[in-house]
Amino acid sequence: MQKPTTKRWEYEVFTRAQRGDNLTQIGTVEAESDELAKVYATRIYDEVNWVEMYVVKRKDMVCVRLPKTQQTAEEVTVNV
Amino acid sequence: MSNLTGGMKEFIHLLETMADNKMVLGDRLVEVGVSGPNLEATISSVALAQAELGHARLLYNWAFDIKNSGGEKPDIKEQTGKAFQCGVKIDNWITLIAGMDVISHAIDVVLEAISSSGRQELASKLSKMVREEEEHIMFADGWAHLLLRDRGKIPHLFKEAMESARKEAEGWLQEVESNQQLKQERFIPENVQLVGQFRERLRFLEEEGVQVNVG
Repeated sequence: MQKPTTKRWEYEVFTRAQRGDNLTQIGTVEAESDELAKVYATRIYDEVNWVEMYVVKRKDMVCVRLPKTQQTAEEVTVNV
Repeated sequence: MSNLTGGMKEFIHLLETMADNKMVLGDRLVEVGVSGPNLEATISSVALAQAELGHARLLYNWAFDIKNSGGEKPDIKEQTGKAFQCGVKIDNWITLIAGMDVISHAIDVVLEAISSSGRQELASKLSKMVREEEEHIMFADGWAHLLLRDRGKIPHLFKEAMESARKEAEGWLQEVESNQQLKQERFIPENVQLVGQFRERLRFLEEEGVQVNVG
């Protein structure tokens, strides 16, 4: 089987409905580039006329804490 | 229609050409885009189709208003026959992206030229469309990169589709660029370089092996 030539990344989508509202995670999109992620997020999550929208590559999110069941072996060792 | 100046008649022709291309593109984005390569691309295609059809309606109505000095707008059911063949013949994802990329860039350079003609009433009529066009171009450029880096015959087929579409669009831009009536009545700037700007827009394709500067 041939390997795919382009990698798809998972992006978290964050929006603010009105000025002063909290920035809220509303879903995810998968895309091959930041530009396509922006288009996909705009077109898929278009139920509200958001004042702000961001896409963040999941791999670029800095983890502060995870549920114990999702911790990696390394993290568990550190915590112990 | 008899009271119209030569420049106005040319401008109506220009508006209808862009409207036809957008109408055809909107139709193809639904027909072909609905079987896109992944869910995100499919949903975006159908959503972008709505935007293209909206732009087409605005341009048709504008042309109608110039021709008839207002009045009730007709219900547009089909294009006026000025759409590019690279749009009309779109029948798969490869030709869809090639057609969309070329048509969107070509129309965008013309819209920018009209907006910078110095006639404020033209610029304000187009400002929203020009802003929305950015997203269409982002989608088409993004997919152009993907298809050029794909495997098997796909990059080759895409390059062929791009070449064919590019030639057709350049021919049209050349005609618009050299239209003296449009320039004299300040629908486009005197020193406009549409073909040059269009080629510059598609320069990124050269890195992927597509020729963009041959006549």
